[in-house]
Amino acid sequence: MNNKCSKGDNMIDDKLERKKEIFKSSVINNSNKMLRRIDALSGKPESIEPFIDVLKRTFVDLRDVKRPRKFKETFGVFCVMVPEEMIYAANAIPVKLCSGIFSGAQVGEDFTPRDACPLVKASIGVTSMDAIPIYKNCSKFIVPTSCDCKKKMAYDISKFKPVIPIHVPSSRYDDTFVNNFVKDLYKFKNTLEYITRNQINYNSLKESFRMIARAQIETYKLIEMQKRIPAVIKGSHVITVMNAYAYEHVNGWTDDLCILNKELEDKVKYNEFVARENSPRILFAGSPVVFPNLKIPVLIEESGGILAADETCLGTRRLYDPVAITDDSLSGLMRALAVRYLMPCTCPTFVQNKQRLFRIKQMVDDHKIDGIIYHVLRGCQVYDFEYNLVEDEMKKYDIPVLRVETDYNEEDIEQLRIRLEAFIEMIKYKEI
Amino acid sequence: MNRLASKFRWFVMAIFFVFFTFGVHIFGLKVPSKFALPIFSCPINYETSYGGSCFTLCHLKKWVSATTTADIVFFIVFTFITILILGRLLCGYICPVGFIQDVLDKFRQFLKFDQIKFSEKRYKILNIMKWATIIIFFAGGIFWEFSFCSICPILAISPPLAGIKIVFSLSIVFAILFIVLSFFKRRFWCNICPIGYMIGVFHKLSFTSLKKDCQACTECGACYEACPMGIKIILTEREKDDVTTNDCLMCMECINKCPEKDALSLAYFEKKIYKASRKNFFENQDINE
Repeated sequence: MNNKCSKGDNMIDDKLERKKEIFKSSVINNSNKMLRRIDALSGKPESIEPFIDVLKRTFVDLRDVKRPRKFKETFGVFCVMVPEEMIYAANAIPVKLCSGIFSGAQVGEDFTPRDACPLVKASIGVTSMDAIPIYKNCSKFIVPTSCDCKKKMAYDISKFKPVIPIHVPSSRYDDTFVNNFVKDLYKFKNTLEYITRNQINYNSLKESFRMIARAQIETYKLIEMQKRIPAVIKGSHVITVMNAYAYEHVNGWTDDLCILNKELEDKVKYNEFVARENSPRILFAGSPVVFPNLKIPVLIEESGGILAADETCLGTRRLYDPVAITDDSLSGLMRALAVRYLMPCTCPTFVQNKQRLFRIKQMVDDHKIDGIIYHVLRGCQVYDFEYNLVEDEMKKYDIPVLRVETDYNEEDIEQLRIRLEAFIEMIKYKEI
Repeated sequence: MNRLASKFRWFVMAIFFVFFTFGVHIFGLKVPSKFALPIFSCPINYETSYGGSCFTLCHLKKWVSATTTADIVFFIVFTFITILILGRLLCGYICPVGFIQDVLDKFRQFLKFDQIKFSEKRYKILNIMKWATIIIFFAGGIFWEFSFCSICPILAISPPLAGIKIVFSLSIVFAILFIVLSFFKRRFWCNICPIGYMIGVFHKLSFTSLKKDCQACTECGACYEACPMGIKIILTEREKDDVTTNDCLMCMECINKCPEKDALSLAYFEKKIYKASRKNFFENQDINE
């Protein structure tokens, strides 16, 4: 009796192990392919290598995040509304786990409805496989209740990993919403302190503010570089840099970005550009793209466009808004965090989100944009809702908008290529 | 350069504070009291030395009956011209009470005490208090022969600082309240100041104004957090260029904390003289070692 049972268990284990191996190899293949395509794009700056190495280490070598001394734990973080400063202050590293792995999305389909967005499917799928160390070694997941899919994911994913949900209000026209969010952050602080056994106090919080602010200053320099005509760096490379941020300690990342910025400054000095002056400048808006699902940014630049700016939440927007310290005390810092992570966020889950339109208009002006590609992940409804708003508003400025709906599957890549090429050519001829 | 701009305000405020508080000791009684600015500053000697025009404004009836017509006309014209030229820059830069409150606030931050955060509801209560002080201040002097000085908290603060003994009165109680409240809330007095409100009424005529580039704003809320007066329109306005209100002190805290390029700016004669920028933001942030 006993024997039979253990035999059955072994068989299931073997099956699972094999499934895991297949999953791993498909992740590695998928990532390798994307890395090669990023590598093959012309005009790659030399100092982008460290960022590519980070992605390689995480998804090809399947190794964990590099942990500097003192930082023992990692927390898995979803969305952009989780205050990373607090996690660093508790001597832990936040790794951003919104997933872009196609095979993960396939696995995740067992747990989610058909129309759920691939990002959530993939996040649940990869976690359930328990094969990628960056997911496996997290002590907890922190999931903000932003869009519907993320809300439900917070529960579904808790079958595999303990989850700390953070309540994000869906509206913010009144002071009470910010006040409540501050209260939630205090609760979150207590939870973090309990788990890590590290006190989050004024000094540790201020220190982590400094770390993030340094990263933000460098990111802002990179954005300023993107505003240049002719372009100095390709947008796909910028997105690669921002994706690497997710899997590294912020200090190491900032040091690498410092070197990259210096190289770009030199390139400006010696007039080494990656595109011609009249290449169509594209704004990439809409649903997030996560490595290895960078097919659209790469396609845009393979078709002769320049991705001059991106408005997606895992791009430069993640580090765009700085924390404004208006009162130099612990409660002041906590409040500043709450305001920074709630108020300027242009995620369309919020009820009133007019600021996103203004932001896009400002980007169109600053980056001298010729056309917008509006990316919609199949099932990402909130971004789809706002498409009409963006299109109507851009009509006034005579900026064409192309809506591209896709998921993580690579099968539609040739169709997408034709559409994107046509769009970019249309902009080119419009100018003549 | 921009870093100097925020230091500049402290410098100007300190100079005027010294002038208004210790002026008699330094300059003697040379400064003519005819040129009285509309600010809260106790005349140290009621007859001769220099003070703000608060004393005149809260004893209007008595003052009118004791002064010649030429002096009355001069006073009105002079007050109006200063309001035109400076507007509420008077509050942000010159008023010594403003300086005392800012020092108290810095002192609190130095001691790492938490501030009392005022939300919209509490600002509504402050608004009622403001109208109460306005009525007591102006109507008291005109109709009831009631001197605001007998309850004025500043009477128990600035003369003792200058080394003048005061007798016990109700104003000492209010002075303690004033110190405690402005310790925990930035510029508490300015929220209920009757003279400041009087200046603010003329903000549309005044040459100074606060401008906003509505497209550049990301609604990050930093300006609203930084504003000691709780003016929400600087955050929510999306159409108009001019965001000056009655309450705006021109303290430029919102511009210092604004991370967006040119989103907020201080304009004089419609010419923008101090603008917000990313660089300025990080310099004012005090996060670099």
